[in-house]
Amino acid sequence: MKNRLRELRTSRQWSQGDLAEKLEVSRQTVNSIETERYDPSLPLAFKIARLFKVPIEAIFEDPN
Amino acid sequence: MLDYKTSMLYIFVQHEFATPNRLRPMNTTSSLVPDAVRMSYLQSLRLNAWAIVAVVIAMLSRLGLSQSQALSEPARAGIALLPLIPACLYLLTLWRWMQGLDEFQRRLQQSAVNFAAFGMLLLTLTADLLRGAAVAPRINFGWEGYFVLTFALYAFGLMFANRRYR
Repeated sequence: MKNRLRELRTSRQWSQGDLAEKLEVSRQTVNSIETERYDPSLPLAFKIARLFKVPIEAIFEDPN
Repeated sequence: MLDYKTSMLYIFVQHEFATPNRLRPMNTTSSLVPDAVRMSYLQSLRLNAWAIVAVVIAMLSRLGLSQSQALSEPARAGIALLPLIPACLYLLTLWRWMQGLDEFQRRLQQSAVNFAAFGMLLLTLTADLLRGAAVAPRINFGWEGYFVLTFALYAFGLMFANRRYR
């Protein structure tokens, strides 16, 4: 699934490690989401949206 | 003086196993092993302690059984099944460890465990079919064989899963 996670992260000048720490996941998890190889679960997607203070659909693109 | 291959191997080992996460550059995704299994020797020892205990008890119980033929059948069964106690505790420790991982790392671990389980199922089925057909009647992995094969399949599964999401 396409997403804007990298864009949002870099706009805040956070490293993948910083974001991983804030989301309480591993850096590899952040990397896999950013490279669109892994789609996060709904709770993690909500957590990401809450962290960036934007709606989920502003981060993750509906494939349909 | 190290030759080229040895130097490259040294660099690879340093990079893969010796560099702490905090010193790794951002976006380093060339590793073969996922973040969850990157741990110090002490952490690894703590996680796998019950496996070591199980192996030691299995060896001791086998030695004990071979040297005491006079024991009753229930006593022999009890001694033979003794390694199951630390083995169950090991599985419990692994399950708890997996529950503490984040969802992506847990998915990698589950893929590896599934790969190992299905691989072992196929191997034992193959061995049983060959034994049944009397093609290879002496095939017997033994508990050491099962242990090593399961671990090898798990390691391969983990590498494949990690590669898939790299």
